[in-house]
Amino acid sequence: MQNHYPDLTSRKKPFKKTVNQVVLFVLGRALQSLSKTDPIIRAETALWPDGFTLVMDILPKGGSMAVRRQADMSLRYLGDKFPAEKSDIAIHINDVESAFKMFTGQLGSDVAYARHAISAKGDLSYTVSVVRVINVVETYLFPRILSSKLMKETPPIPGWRLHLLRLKTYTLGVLFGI
Amino acid sequence: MKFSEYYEFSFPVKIISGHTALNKLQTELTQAGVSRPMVITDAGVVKVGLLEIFLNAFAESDITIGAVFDQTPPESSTTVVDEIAKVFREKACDSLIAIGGGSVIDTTKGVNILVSNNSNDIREFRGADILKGCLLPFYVVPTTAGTGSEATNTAVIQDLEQGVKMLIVSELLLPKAAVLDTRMTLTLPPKLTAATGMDALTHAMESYIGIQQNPMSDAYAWQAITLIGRYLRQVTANPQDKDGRLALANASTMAGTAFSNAMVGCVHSMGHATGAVAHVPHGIVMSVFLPHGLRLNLPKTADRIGELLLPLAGADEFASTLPEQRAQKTIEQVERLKEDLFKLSGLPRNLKEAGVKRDQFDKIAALGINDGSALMNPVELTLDRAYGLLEAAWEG
Repeated sequence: MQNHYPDLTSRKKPFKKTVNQVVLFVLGRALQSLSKTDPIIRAETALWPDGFTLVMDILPKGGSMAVRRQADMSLRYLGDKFPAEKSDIAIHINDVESAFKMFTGQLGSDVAYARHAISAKGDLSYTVSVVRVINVVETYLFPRILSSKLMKETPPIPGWRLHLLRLKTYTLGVLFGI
Repeated sequence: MKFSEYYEFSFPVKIISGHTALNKLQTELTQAGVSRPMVITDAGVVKVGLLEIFLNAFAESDITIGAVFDQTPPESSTTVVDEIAKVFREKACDSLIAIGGGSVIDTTKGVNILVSNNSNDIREFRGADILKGCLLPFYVVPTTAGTGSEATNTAVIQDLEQGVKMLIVSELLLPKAAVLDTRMTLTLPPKLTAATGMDALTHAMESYIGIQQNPMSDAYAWQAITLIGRYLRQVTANPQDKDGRLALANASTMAGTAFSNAMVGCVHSMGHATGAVAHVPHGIVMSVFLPHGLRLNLPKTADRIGELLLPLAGADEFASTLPEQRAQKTIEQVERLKEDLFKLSGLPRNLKEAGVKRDQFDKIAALGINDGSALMNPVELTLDRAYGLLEAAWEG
């Protein structure tokens, strides 16, 4: 009987899982770096309480990243082990495929929410502000042709700042969190 | 318009609709295997005699009403939810019945979360799609035709300690049945009838044009708009119109179903913010902002707004309007409806008439752009656009 009807445990998608984890790391470091300089992000984080912690993870065990708002309004990347239940708001991406689409510029945050690809735990009154911050970060991380498809309209970032901070984010930001 | 690439739709609520539909509720409870429901309502419902009608509907049944809580405040709060949950446990109740409007229904949803999960802290459950398992059997008897809370998967409960409004979103919050009984809305005064009807119209229209719209929610929104277009003026003019009352109660539930599955947009963002800052009733601000919110979304959803001319104004008006003019015509029809309701009931047409002060604009705009409904609005709700909506709605 056992041989005819074996358990079928869930299959693995190592490539997509790895890409997702890398993007979560890049996102965390980019949030840390850009929150020190980008005025649009700083205008948003100014409204977050000091010590406010945001976790974004992929369910069930697809990776995680957390950031905490500092006294100077910047965000500090807390790595990939911060427990979601201790955060002020946890954004859960419900499956590996949705996360892969979001992290490769195929699915925007608002559409992901509309499709129930995301669930959120905690104080939802900050969700809209968090989405705006993520949209700004994605505008820096993705080329304009992709980011314009991901959001209703791209944030008003002047071209010179976009290029300069994009360069900084991909070098000093991602590598050293500066 | 592109067909929805992916969507989810859920509406597991049984609808019991009729001029004396309440009489059927005892059978529903018996079939669900419960016999000691707790009733949650408010003082207004008791005052106009609706609780008496409800209790009469249980005559000669095996049901014992375990407890009646009739002091639900206009805004649901953690304190009142805790208090009611305590009574529910002490009186060994086994199910819940909400008789009232949005606040009563949201309060009952909160109580159900606590008693079903054997918890004492509603804050544990804040968030979207967090609840798991099953909740206790829960029934709703709406006494307004507007909020649609009997058909929505959300509960808003004030956290008095933190001073914030908690949002809980889960399809588990939906009741087992909603009883739409004409007698429950017959006593609504004309102005409240008009305001709640415009609230329902806003649910339907915003869900139809929002980024989460889908073919199922469209069907509910469409029929809700048809009924509101046909009956809202008529019932506001003649509050004793029983058939019209029942039609509006159905429209409200259908609009709630559409909104629960497709969400709402900038009219609600600005409406929630205006309500919080200027304490204007929800239905009134919905009515005030609706045409302006539609106009804001014209660049992205003119076709969809144009389609709504048919259910709102009827076939003749639709057929005699050129396709490229239909969106504008829909907005004009909403404005005409507002004007008619003002004449019939005194429903405020703009923010000034609603008692909002211009020096409240900064607070309203800042809150509005951070309201969750803004996420599903087709056009990004920026601070500039929020101010634009406020200016347009000031005397418009």
